[in-house]
Parts: sequence; structure tokens; C-alpha cells
Amino acid sequence: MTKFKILFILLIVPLFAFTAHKYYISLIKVEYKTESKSIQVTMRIFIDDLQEAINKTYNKNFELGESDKKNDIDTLINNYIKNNFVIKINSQNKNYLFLGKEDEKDVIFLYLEVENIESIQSIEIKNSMLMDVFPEQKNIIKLTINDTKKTFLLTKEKDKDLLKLN
Amino acid sequence: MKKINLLLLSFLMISSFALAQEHGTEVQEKKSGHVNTSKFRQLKQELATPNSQHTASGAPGHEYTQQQVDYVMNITIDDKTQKLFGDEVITYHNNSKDQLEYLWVQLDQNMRAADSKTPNAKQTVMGGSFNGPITFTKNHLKKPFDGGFNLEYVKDANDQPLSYTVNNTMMRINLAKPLASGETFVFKIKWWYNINNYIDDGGRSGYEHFPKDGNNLYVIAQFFPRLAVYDNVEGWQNMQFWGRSEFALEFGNYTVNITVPADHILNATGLLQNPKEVLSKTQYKRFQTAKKSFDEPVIIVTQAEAEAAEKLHADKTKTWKFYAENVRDIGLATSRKFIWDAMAVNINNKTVMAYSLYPKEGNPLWEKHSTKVVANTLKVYSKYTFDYPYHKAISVHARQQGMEYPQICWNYGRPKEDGTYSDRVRDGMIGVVTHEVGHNFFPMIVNSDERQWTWMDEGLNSFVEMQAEFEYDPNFNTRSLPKDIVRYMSMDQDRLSPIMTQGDHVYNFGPNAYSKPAAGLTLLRNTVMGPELFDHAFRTYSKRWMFKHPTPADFFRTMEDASGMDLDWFWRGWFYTTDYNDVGIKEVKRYYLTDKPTKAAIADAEKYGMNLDDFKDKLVYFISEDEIENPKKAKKVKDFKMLDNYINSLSDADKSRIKEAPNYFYEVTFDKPGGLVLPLIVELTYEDGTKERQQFPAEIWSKHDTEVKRIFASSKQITNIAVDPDLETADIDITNNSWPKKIENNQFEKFKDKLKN
Repeated sequence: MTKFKILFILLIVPLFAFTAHKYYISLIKVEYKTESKSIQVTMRIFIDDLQEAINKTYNKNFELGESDKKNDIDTLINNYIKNNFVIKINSQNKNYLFLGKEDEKDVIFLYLEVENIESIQSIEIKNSMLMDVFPEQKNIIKLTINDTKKTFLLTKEKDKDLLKLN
Repeated sequence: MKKINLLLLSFLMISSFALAQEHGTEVQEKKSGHVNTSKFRQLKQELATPNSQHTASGAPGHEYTQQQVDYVMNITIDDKTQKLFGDEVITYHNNSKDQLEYLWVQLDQNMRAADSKTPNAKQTVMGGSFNGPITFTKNHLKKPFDGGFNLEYVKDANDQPLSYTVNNTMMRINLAKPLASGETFVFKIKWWYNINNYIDDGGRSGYEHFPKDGNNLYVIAQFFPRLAVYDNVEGWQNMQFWGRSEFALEFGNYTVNITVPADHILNATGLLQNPKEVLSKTQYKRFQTAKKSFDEPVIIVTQAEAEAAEKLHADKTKTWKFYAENVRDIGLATSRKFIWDAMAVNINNKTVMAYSLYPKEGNPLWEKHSTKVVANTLKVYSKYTFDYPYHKAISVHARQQGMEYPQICWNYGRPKEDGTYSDRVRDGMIGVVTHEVGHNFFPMIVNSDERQWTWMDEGLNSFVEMQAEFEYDPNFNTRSLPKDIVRYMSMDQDRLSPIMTQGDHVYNFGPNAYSKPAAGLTLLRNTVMGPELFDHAFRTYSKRWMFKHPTPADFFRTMEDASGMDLDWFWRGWFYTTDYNDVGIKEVKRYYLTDKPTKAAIADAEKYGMNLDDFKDKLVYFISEDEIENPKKAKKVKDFKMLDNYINSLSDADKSRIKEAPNYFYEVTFDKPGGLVLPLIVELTYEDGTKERQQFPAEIWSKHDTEVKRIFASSKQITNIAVDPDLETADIDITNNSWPKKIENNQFEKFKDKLKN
């Protein structure tokens, strides 16, 4: 049985591996700010990939740059993040706010903020964004919590990771 | 007298410095010895020993040999069953000095065979908690596609069966008697295989099905058993084809007849031998007209003709005949859906044809840009390398593809159904067409071993690609400048591979083999070598290895050989390690002038039993910012009479060498947390707002790997010092690049501020 599954994962690979530019990586900076007691999340994602993921998930045909549909697009992005990005502080699920997005060349930045975090003993992040559409997707999370720096490499096989602080 | 005093003092200062050093080391424990770990040590141990095929200068040597393989082929594509049938006569010329016991033939399509090992070399896991019917069927109900070669015969020139052994994607032809140097061996193969739907099953070759009109668009490559390379670098290059690392192929001449449905439009590598037979009269006329149209493309097959053909499903066939000289491979594209446009390009007074083939789904984007981008690419690459030697270059529209073959390539970039497209789709299409057409130069002509070294074609090509894109559109959004590679180079070290890694085993293939080498070459050209030296050396490499098989050493050596620069430190750092660049300003100490002895001067004088009173009005003292009471009252050079007197006593010749007097002295400590060594670029901003740029060669780090000091002496006060202000050196942390330290909001905070306003 597993063989068929492998094939599926594999089949997608050649489509991008040999094209001029394609590789599937998102970079997410997660930084805890003691002054504001908030966690700042900055996601850097290829626009084409996010667009394809959102259009496939919600059966739409949006261009993420289209300004007249900004509100609809923001709602979809917000939903998409909520369904794929989970942040747990001290073993508790935390709500976060989607502040907005910005484009630069072929990437889009998404900004999220978690407020009212007094202290962090542990932080767990799940991020399965884009993995449904691109099985090779890698989401790299760079955490800076107080003086601790840590990188999570999240993939379809392991889409969450935990950092414990003393 | 004055002169002697000064002289004496300077001697004293030098010896006291030397003494202090000796005293300082006295207490240190003796460390054990070590081998040479300098970042500037030569690359000799990493590079293959030069020989008379690959010389020490990086050029092909006087005994350089290369095999030649000629093919005569008949290919038929059955559109109804999506099968490809072929037979070929291969003539193998053993130009090497060696005798060969066997020949290795590549069977690339076996990577898609039902028993391929490629899928089993991957980890698999349960993903997602639910599936829709399409995904579930694909994942769990469908048998693997069988796209492997079915060999009908392998026989010699006299039609006697040959002994052969298939090892996955490689086949060994067992010769009855060894093939001597200078001999030729003729043999024949017949085969067929199922063509994959590359949208569903992946791959660089295959077809896309268009359900609306029921047609297929074929882009076909790696479709015939082809000889592996034999040389004095790898012996037989018979590493398996796992699906990623591309090809190593010999040059030769191809005579190819391709039979497809009569209503298809087809093009392939090689000179079309029978245009009159395969084109309508009007199309043939346009085909000829295009050869004289240097400004705008001429449409040879119109959209209306293509749309009419889409509705036909001819049972009859047509044979397109090609002859390709001195190519390493062939590719072909065929469909009823093809529109074909063409433009002539003047390459140094030789006419080359730029062609595009695309279905109506590619318009209006493709008719507007594709052929013009092909023409631009040929011109710019010819400038950076050599005049494009082939007679044509074709860009074929293929969804999700970006893949290159000699004279022909497949490119993505499809507008939405209503014909609109975003700037990103446009730029992506211009970028991929430039890139894939550019591959004609690397590796189709400068024929490096792609199976082994992805960067040698992808990296060099991505570098020239940028120059061509900027030429096409000065505002083009490129992704391979040094500043663009910072994120990759600052990644977790566990997920980085040196560029000098065989392609199948590289993490993050794109940035590793494409952008990082291209960014490195940009850095080398613009910052390390300068355009003139770089361009000459790069062109020398390209010309030396036209239609030959270069290795990395040939590239590294030629770049040094032709420019008079030792770049071993650059290759070592950028290509052989995953080190990154990070340089910062650690400390700036300001010194002023005074005529009063400073604490340091008094201490030094005491050490050597000098009485500074004896030197009254004979010395210039440097006073640090910590000691000086009021910097505004600091002495200037003009305040020192004795300096004036001294200068006046000089000969005219010596006087003419006196420059503007500095009054302010800045001792700057540059630290280097990063492992790379690169030129140090410093920008000084003066109190009057003027700026000055100083660049120190990478060699400044050779004896001071972690930090180095420089004194900037100036007549004006310096208000700001910046390292690498134009982001030329891929410095991964620029928060330490300026003095005084800039405190900047991070990107997140900037965005929040923007929202508030």
C-alpha cells in the first residue's frame, strides 16, 4: 500500500526540482518581546505557492495581488492560517491576530501577533501551511525567545515541534 | 638634530612594541602544532592533478580526447495510445587512447518503470487525516505508472544479437572483443515506452492533456537509449538516474525522422530537412519570410490554424526529418495545438532563428514575449560567452515545465482562462525562457557533467541569465543577487550542503545549485575581480570548453589563469564550505592631536627612561577620546610649528608628496563572526555630509581571521562608518554593520507602524 503513496509524493518532485527556480520553503520568524509581552510572527512565503494553496483549498481563482478583492482574500488567508498554524504556550493553545500582509518581489509576508504572554516555559508550533498542496514543502521556524534561539524544520512528516525553556 | 630626535623616537616606539609582545607571550602554554588551516591556502588538495587532457591552466590539453556518438533514428508517436516507438543505429567512435571492454548506455525512462528504485529511496509517512476521492485514488488505489523502456532488440551492425545487461537506468553492452582506440562500433536498438502524462505523473518529458478539446501537447526528451560519457575524469559516467541530477552526454550527429499525426505541428533539435513536405504552402512562405524579419516575430502557424487543427483527429501521419550536427542530445515537441512564430536574430552577422511554439492557452502572453526573449537571450549570452553556434533556438510552452535540451526547451507561464496574467506570471515566464534558452550555452555547448555537478550548468547559467534579464527589462525582479542568498546562507547549518556536492544529495536544491553559485559569481564579478577581468576570464572559460567536457577545476583554474588573480580562497569558501559572511564594526576609537604629553606617552617615556621635557615642542601626541577634555579644542596639524619647519626643510621632490593634513584619527576594529573571507567595503560619512568609499581586498583577513583594525585619518570628522552599504557581499547580519550603531525596528514593528499610520 505504501508504495502508491510514495509515488504520489515522488511524482510532484520532478515538477519543481528541475524548473528554473522552484523550491518549496517558507521562513517564519517567531520572536518574543518582553517589553510588549507579545509574540511577533513574520511569515515569508512564495506568493505563487500561497495563492495556489488558497485557491485549491477554497476552490477560488484569486490573484493575491488583486486589490479590489483585498477583504475577501484577507479573510481566506486568515482562515487558512487558522486551519494550519497552531501556537501553544506553556501547553495552552493561544489565539493570535492576523495583522496583515505585504508583498515583495515573489514573496509575501504575513504578520501575526500573540498578545498577553507573561512568560514562556515552553512553546510548541504546528505549521502545516502549503503541505497539502506541495508535499515537499518545508516550513522553517526561527524562534527567538529571550536569549534562546532555535530553529524548527517542519515538514509533512513532522509538522510540529516543541521548545522547552528553563 | 630635530631629524635625529624624531628618528630615534620612532625606533624607540617600534622596539617597545616588540618588547611588549614578547612579554605578553611569555606565560602562554605551548600549543601543539597544526596543519595549514588558512582560508587562503591553495586548493591543490581539492583539485584533481592536472594532466595533458585537463591542464593546470584550466584549458583542454594537447592530448584531450572526447568520444563521438552518431545516431540515425526513426521515431513514431502514437497519439491515440500515447506510446513512443523508436529504432536507432548508433555509431560509437572510440577517440580515447583506451580500449573499451564494454559500452554503457543510459536508459533514463527506466526511472519511471514500475520497478524503479527511485520511489523506494524516499521516506514515506501517513500524511493528513482525510483524503478526497482524487487524492485517495491516486495514493492508494492506483498502480504505479509503467513508463520504462521496452527493448525489442539490441543487435550489432550485422543484425546479430548483442549481449547486454540492464542495471536499472544503465545498460552495459558486452562487446565480444574490446573496442580499440580509434575504432568505431555500430549497433542497433529498437524500443517502445508509454509516455507519461507529466501533469499527473511528473517528469520533464511527457504530455499534457487538454480535456476541453481532447488534444495532447507532447514535450519529449530522454526518449531514446543514449550513450554514457567515457572520459579520463570519471571513466564511464554511469551513475544511476534517480530523477534529479541531469545528464552527461557525448556530442555527435543525429539524423532523426519523427512520425506523428498529419495534423500536428512539430519541432525538434536539428535542421528541418523537409519543410515543404510538412508545412502548407502559405506556412512555408511565412517560414521563409521569418528568416528576414529581425524586429518582429512572423507567425508561421497562426492561432486560427491551430484552433482548426485542434478539431481534427487525423488518422494519417506525417514524417518530420531533422539533421543535427554536433549536438549532445535531442528533444522534440509536437501537438495539434501549436501556434508557431519566428524571428531572425543577428549574432555577429550570422542569422539565427528564434522560434516559439505555444497553444492558444499561452496567449496573449506568449506571442508578446516568448520569441523576443529567446532573441534577447541569444544576444546577451553571445556577448558573455561566444557567438551562438547553432542555427535556431526554440521556446515551447509547457505548463509547469522549465527544462532544456539542445536548441529546444520547455517553459511555463500560462495566463488565466480569460487571458489575463499578473506581473509575476509574466516575469516568471520571461525568467524561465531566458534560463532555459540560456542552457544552450551551459551545458549544451560548454558541456559539463550535470549528473555530478549541478552548479556547473545551473549556477553559471543562472548568473548569465540575470544579465540577460536586466537587458530585457532593467527593472526585472531577479533572485540571484548576493543579497538574495542571505536567507539561505543563514539557514540552519544542518540543512545546508556545500555547492561542491553531487546533485542527488543536496538539501535545498534551488538555492544551493542555482542561486548561490550565481550570487557568488555576481560577487566575484562586481566586487572581487571587477567586470573587465571577470568577463574576460569567464569568456575564456566558455570558449576553451565549447563542445568539450569541463570539470570544476577547469573553471576555477581558468578564472585565475586568465585574470592574474588567486581566487582559491573564494572557491574554497563559497563553493567548498557552507560558511557565511558576517562582518561588523566592533569598536571605533577616536584620537585627536595635542602638544601636551598624554597619560600613555608619559607611561611609555617612563618605561624607557626618557624625559619628555627634553622633547618639548618636538612631538605630536595622540590623545584618545576618553582623555581629551574638549575635542573641539584639539590641536590641528597646522598648529605644530615644528611640523611646518620640518616640511619646509624637505626637498621639493619630498614636499610634492605631502598630502592634506589629517586632524582626526579613527582606529576601527572590524570583527568577522562569519567564516567566509571577502573584500571589506567601508563607507565613511564626513561631518559635511560627503561620503567616501574604501575597499580592502579579502587578503586583509589573511593574518587576522576574526578581527582586523584599520586607521582612518581624516581632515574632517567622520560621523558615520558603514560596512558593505550596498549589500554586495551577502552579509547575513547587517545590524552590526554601522557605527554609530543604528537601532532599527524589526520588520514586524515597521509593519505595525505602517498599519497605525
